[in-house]
Amino acid sequence: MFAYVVAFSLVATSCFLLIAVFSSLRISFSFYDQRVKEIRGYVQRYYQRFQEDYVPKNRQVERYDEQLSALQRPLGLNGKRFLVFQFFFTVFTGVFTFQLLSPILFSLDSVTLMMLGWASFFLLLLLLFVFPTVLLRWLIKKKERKVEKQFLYLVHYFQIFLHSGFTPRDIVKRVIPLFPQSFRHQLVRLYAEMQVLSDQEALQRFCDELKTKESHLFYNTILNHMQMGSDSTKSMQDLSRSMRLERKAAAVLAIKKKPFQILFPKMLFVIAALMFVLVPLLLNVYQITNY
Amino acid sequence: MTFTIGYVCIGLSLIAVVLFFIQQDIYRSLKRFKLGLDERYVQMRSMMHHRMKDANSEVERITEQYNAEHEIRAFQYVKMVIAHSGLKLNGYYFLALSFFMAVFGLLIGWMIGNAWLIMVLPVGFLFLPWMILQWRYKRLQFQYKVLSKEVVSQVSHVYKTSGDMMHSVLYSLDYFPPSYQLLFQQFLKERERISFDYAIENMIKQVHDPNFRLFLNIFKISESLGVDVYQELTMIDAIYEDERDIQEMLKEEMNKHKIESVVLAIIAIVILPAYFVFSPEKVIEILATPWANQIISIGVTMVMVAILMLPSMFNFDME
Repeated sequence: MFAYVVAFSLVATSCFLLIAVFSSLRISFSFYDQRVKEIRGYVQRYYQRFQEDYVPKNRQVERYDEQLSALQRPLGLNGKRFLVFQFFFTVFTGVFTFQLLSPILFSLDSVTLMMLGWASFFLLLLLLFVFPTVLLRWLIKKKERKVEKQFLYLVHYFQIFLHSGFTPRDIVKRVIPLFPQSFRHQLVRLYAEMQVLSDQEALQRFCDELKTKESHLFYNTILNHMQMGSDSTKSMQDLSRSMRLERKAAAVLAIKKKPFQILFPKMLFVIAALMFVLVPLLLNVYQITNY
Repeated sequence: MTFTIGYVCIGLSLIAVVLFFIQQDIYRSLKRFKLGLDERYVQMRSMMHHRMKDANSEVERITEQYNAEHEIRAFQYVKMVIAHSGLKLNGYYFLALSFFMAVFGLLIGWMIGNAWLIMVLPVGFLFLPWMILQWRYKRLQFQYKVLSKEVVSQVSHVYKTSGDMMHSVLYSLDYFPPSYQLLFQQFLKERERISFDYAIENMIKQVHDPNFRLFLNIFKISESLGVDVYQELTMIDAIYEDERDIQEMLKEEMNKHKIESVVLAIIAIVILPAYFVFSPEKVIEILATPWANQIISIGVTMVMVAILMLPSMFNFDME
């Protein structure tokens, strides 16, 4: 066993040293490759346009692409790469589970048991295949929830700044550093689009992308303020109050669910404890019956 | 001899980890320097092509600018949590601790002699220090929120009669909690040297609570523009009250479950070591039997998953 530890630490050491050397090489090269990157960027853009125009797209790949772009492409993943990852993940975990379960699967005697065993194995494979997709959806839902929470603060800031006579563009510029990275990206995009498009159009695009319940109410209020010059403080106050109440109601509901949710870890503890208690007893019984 | 070689190897690998992260820091600072040089080039390019009005390139430029300030989000978040958790920990110590825990998990997996546990336990043990750190951070954040609510309600109470934000802050400064007294005293000192806007922005950077940031922004606006902000102050007070209500409700609902789940966790964790203390031969026998070994490994995985799930059950984040 100790030899394994030694081998493991040797491998870890060499890996880290290799990475260190590799990235210090990157430092020295990074000063010279600006131009190369630029040309590569042009080529990639042309290639992308060509792909968009001529290469038919897979619907699943497109769906993954949309979902990953909503998550700001973690680890530089796109639809195709994610599909490849999903495939390899299924193959590797499938081989591993097959190795674990093969002694049981091949030792089954009756046909019914064998069929049941193999069916459950293929069901497990299917579950493994679906797992990355489910994980992606869960991450997106989590992000949407985060965005909803941050959106409430954005409404508060708009309420305060509009009341003080700032324009929406100034407000967005002032507010960007006050938000966490996850929401800041969207605000930066809004601000950039405000410089290129009109404020109204950029805000509309921003609210469309947010997909929260109140985003359109928010947009209409600011539109009224911009076009009619009306005092939007009261309507913003109402909007923020209703959002706050809704958030509180959702929080109460989530807390009411907690006592049921905690049953799951409790059950896990109980089942695990039962397993630990029963295994020695079962082993005794097994030994007595075998002798 | 082999033990010495082993310890030397583990020590070397740890030094390599630390070197790797220090070197990453140097790399990042060089990159930032390079980005600073590139900024002029990017500006020139945008000036040349401003007629094209390409929204995407503009987005990329500004995002790059912000990303340069906040590189490696996960690492930044870890640093922030460590700084706000009130523990005397350094980022590198924390990483080393997580690494040690992972190695410990690996050793337990090897002792049980199960391929599944060799894979699962290091991952679970790797996240244990992070779990404890985050739990502590959230607890402290709640305590900070209670204090900041006190500050906001005191200031808004004085503001109702005086109508002047600066006056109300100065008037109620003595009644603030000590940590906030320090924060505001620092702000007042800075205000003598630099402008009001810079001083308050420095204060905003130090505060992590979004509601209190909102309050400081209101403070800033009312001072610079002289707008009436009583409605906004009452709104922040209401937000704090909402959060307090929710936390109290959570406590009411979950207090009884807390003791139960902790007792169950202790029982589940203690059984195996107890076997090992009282009859080690039996444990060796169990681990040597394939089916018993597999059942034990499933049980250990269950305990691991349940422990990692527990903190999220007793926490609720309104932010």
